[in-house]
Amino acid sequence: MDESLTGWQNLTLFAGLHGYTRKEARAVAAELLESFRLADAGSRTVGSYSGGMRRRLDLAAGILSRPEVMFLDEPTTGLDPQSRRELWEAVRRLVKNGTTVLLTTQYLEEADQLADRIGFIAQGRIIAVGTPEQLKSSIGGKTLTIRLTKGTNTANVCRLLASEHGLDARWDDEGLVVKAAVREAALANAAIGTLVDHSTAIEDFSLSEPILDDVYFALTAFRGKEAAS
Amino acid sequence: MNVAQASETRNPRRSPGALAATALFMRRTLHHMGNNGFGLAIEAVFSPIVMLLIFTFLFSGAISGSVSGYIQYLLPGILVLTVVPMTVYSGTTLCNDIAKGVYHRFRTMPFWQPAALFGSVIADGLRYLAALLTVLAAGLALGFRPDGGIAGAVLASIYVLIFAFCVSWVFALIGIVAKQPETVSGTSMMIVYPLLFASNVLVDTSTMPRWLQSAIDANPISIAVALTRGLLHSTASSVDLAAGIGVGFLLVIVFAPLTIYVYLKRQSR
Repeated sequence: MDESLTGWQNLTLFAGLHGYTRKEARAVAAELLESFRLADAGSRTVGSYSGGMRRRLDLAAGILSRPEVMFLDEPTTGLDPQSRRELWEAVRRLVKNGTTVLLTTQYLEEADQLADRIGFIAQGRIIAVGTPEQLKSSIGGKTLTIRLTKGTNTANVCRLLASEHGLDARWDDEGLVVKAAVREAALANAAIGTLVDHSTAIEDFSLSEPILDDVYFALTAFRGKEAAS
Repeated sequence: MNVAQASETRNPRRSPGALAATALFMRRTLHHMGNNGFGLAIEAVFSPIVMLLIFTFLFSGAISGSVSGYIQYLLPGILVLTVVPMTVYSGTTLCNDIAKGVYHRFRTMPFWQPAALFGSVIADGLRYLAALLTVLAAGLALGFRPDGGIAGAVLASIYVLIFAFCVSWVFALIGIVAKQPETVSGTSMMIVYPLLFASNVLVDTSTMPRWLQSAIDANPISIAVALTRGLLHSTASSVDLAAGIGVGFLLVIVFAPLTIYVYLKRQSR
């Protein structure tokens, strides 16, 4: 982007260079500024824009050529949460208008939010490809999280879950939160039932879908073991 | 349907022609000026007036005895002295484009690429025109009375604009080759100021020793100033005319193709 031009001037310039007539260029610039939430900033020079605004303007200029495929390399790195949301919106709009987007990111939540298909890359190789749902189900079911009251013998709780239900339960550093992967909700119910029967002091518990971070750690841990053996 | 057809149906637009693209880049330069009105005012109005006042009042007593006598000789030179350093800005803009990455976006787009150079170099003529008019107006107020009248003033202004256009290719080249915008102005000023002052802008070369006179008269700035002076006072000989136009032409045929070549070659980096 040309920093000494305004957002509007940049877009009309690039539109013109893409073969839009002057009238079309004005119309499309106004439309893009509006839909990328830059309408208010359109008359300010780009030099005064924040990082998020610049990237949205970059995206807006990028779609002037109506590309079929667009590569976005870590487009939200270093943006604040609000700017990130707004950029996500912009990317979704691109996709809705028929552009295929190949996006790289370090934020797995971002991949989960935006992608139809995700590929994990570790040490330069693709280690898994699939839809977010496929990848999550690949590590088997849901995560049961149990928060215990202070002073509870956490090791005992884990032993109990392993012996009664065959669960591979782990606790966190503080020793108050126990996590275990469970294949189905019924198993989680039974496990909680067992703990209640043994009058374990449970503060709180929850059953959640795994997030992509869990998938990534599972995949890389597996590969680590593979490499070691 | 093959790929070409697919993209044709998706994108029915034709890339702009050479003239349309050049016009777009001219408009870009106009926007730059509009967005930086204060800078333009300093450069094209304030600083030329200051220069004119300094040289008129500082040198007139020593060189010619009176302000009204000296300014007849000085003003044509001040026109060139004001406009030529302004052409350095073309180079700075180009260097900025490359440093800030706009260049790469331009390079990926399907338009006649030299338009980016021509557009800015041509539109910068407006800044030069503003400065020319300022100097002429201030000169008239100080007692400048050209013998060539309005016709002479118009012809001289046109010539200075063309000369500036020719010179700006030199700095455009420096702008493309340099790594940082600061280097462009530094390097360019080092070339410009010795040439400007080792010339006939301020003093008549007939007062100098013969060897020095021939050296100073061969300076392209001297040649341009001689023609400007001749046009303003309608004393230009055909030799002045040929030399004045020839030196500009020479600058363009050497530096314009070279600049365009280097600009287009940069893509591989």
